[in-house]
Amino acid sequence: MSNALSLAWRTLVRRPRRLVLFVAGVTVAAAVLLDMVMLAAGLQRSLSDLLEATGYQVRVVPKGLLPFESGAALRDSRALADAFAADDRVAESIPFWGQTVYVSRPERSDRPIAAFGYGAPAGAAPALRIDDGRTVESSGEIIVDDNLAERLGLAVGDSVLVGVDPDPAVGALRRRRIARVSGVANFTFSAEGTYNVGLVIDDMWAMAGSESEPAALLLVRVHREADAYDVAREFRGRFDNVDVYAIPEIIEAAGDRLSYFQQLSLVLGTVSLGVAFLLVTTLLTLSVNERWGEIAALRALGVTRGRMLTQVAWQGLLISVAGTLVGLCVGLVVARYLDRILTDFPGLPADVSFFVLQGGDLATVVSLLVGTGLLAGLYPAWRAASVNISMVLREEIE
Amino acid sequence: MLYAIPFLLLLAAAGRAASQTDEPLPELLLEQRTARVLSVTPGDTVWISGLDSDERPFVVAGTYRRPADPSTVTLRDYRAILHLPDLQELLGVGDRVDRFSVRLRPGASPEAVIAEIDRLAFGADAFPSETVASATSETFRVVSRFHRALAGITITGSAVFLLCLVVLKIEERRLEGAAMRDVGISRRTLFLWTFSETLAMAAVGTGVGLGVGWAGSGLVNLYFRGVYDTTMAFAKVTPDLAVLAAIIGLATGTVVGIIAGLQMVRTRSTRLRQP
Repeated sequence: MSNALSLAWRTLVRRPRRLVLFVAGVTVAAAVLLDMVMLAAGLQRSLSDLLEATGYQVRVVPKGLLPFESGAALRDSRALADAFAADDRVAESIPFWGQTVYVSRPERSDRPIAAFGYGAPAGAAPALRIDDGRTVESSGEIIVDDNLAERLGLAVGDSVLVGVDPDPAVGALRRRRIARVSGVANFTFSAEGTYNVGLVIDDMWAMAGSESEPAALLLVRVHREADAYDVAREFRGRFDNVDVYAIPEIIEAAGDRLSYFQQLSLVLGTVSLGVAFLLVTTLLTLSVNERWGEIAALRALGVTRGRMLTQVAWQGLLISVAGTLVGLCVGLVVARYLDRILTDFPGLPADVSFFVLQGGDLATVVSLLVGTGLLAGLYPAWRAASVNISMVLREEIE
Repeated sequence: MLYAIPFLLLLAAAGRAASQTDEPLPELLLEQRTARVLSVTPGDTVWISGLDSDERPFVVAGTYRRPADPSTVTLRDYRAILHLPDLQELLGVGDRVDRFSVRLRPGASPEAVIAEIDRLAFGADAFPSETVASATSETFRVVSRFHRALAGITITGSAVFLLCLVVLKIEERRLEGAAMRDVGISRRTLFLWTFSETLAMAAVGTGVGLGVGWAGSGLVNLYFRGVYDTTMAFAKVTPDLAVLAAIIGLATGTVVGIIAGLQMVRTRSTRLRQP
């Protein structure tokens, strides 16, 4: 085998320019393939990681919708959360609500700034990474994101005016209250350049003047030993007008919204594999044609068919491996560039990525390309192995 | 005046008896998907409530298909259209609206009107239609940038592929080229021969590619229209786009043809004959 490999290598490097060109071709194909494999499931993986990071494994949402897909809300969410919490497998169940609120410094007459307000029970800190201070632990407190803290010059302990329903004529908030900043945090689901605040959900309900205790969703944490799938499945159908999802089920439900990227990945990934196949087959077929006489002579000297076949197959493998190795590096660079473009989508959480690399991706790309290289080498290898020795040698002499 | 309500409403099951009053029930339009989920048709009664209001009966006056709007096509929320006073009464929000659309008389200056609104209504912002359109079309600008980047990668890959094919072709014809040089065929003719052949290959490839692209766009539309239940066109091969693709394909062929032609004529005839 080492002889066949060595001969395959020397045959390839005999024409270095051609070799470089073909490796470049496979490199482009490998880079595109890696990017498409990363893109195919990247957004789902990224969203899944974000959802897992909240520490709540089950979501309860209005029927037929995904979290925050519309302004629809669950009524009497506290009672609903209590019903879930009564289950032995549930460690915690909290209502979570979001709506636009307006924030300003009480001592200034500036127009209030519109921010996305999240409401959760006191002490809960879902979807938050606290940079300074602590989460809201009692009514009258507010936690703000870095953007808003910088814009209004806020620090822990400062007071802000927060409210809803601005008067279109004078800009004053019709329903408002003073809140003390308990902390500054990074909101996991906040989009780039937006302002976000967290309040105790009772304060949000009071400001909105809502008595039905609405929530966009319930966040449910199950005990370590419990299975989130089982909990979701058992609660599904127990309540009218709600859907219950474990995190992977939400990602699956969101799948058809993201099918564009999956389809695109499938098409471009298949095309790149096809290109790699054609390149390797073409190169090896030409190489065999050029060495027709040489191959016949070697066969006449006693080199077996199997050995000839192995040698040509090695050539295909070497080109594929070389192109794949370079292509993986190029693919990672291109993926970062494409990810920077796509993460500019307005309203997307800042921590979301479209191109997410997992160990399995590299294995998939390498095995696909190496397999393609081997397959592509089959036809030329068969031609080399089945050369008609006497006829070719006679033609060469003539 | 009609008003869309994508939020805050709960649509109850149809078929319940409406309260006995002489007044006709208010009407609404249901989006087709919403009507399908509720199994209602025009003439049926549906019950609707806001978060903090009691259920009220409405008569389904008709159904409508959601406009083919790229910004909402992937949403699966349920929608209905009510008369504005009915909606305000249902939600208990008095005379409140989310926004106004203002149509100006011919000749009126949008800037002057916006300045006047901003001066009078301190709590409201007024924007020209272009600004609103620009802000809401950011998503499509991102998609467009992504597609351009992919196009760049595809073009690079195609160029390398074409170059590989041409280089192979030239190497295959070394003897033929040497013989032509020996019988007096000029370098210029050799160059033009190689160049035109490459260009022809690129032209045929471009033509076939356009055909595949046109057929592909049909398949893409067929598939995604089914997925998203819309009439929207997801892919379109416009004449401008076809011309651009043809120009890029031929330009790539031209560059590769020049490289291939130069490679052919720069090799000496004695070298060309070497095995």
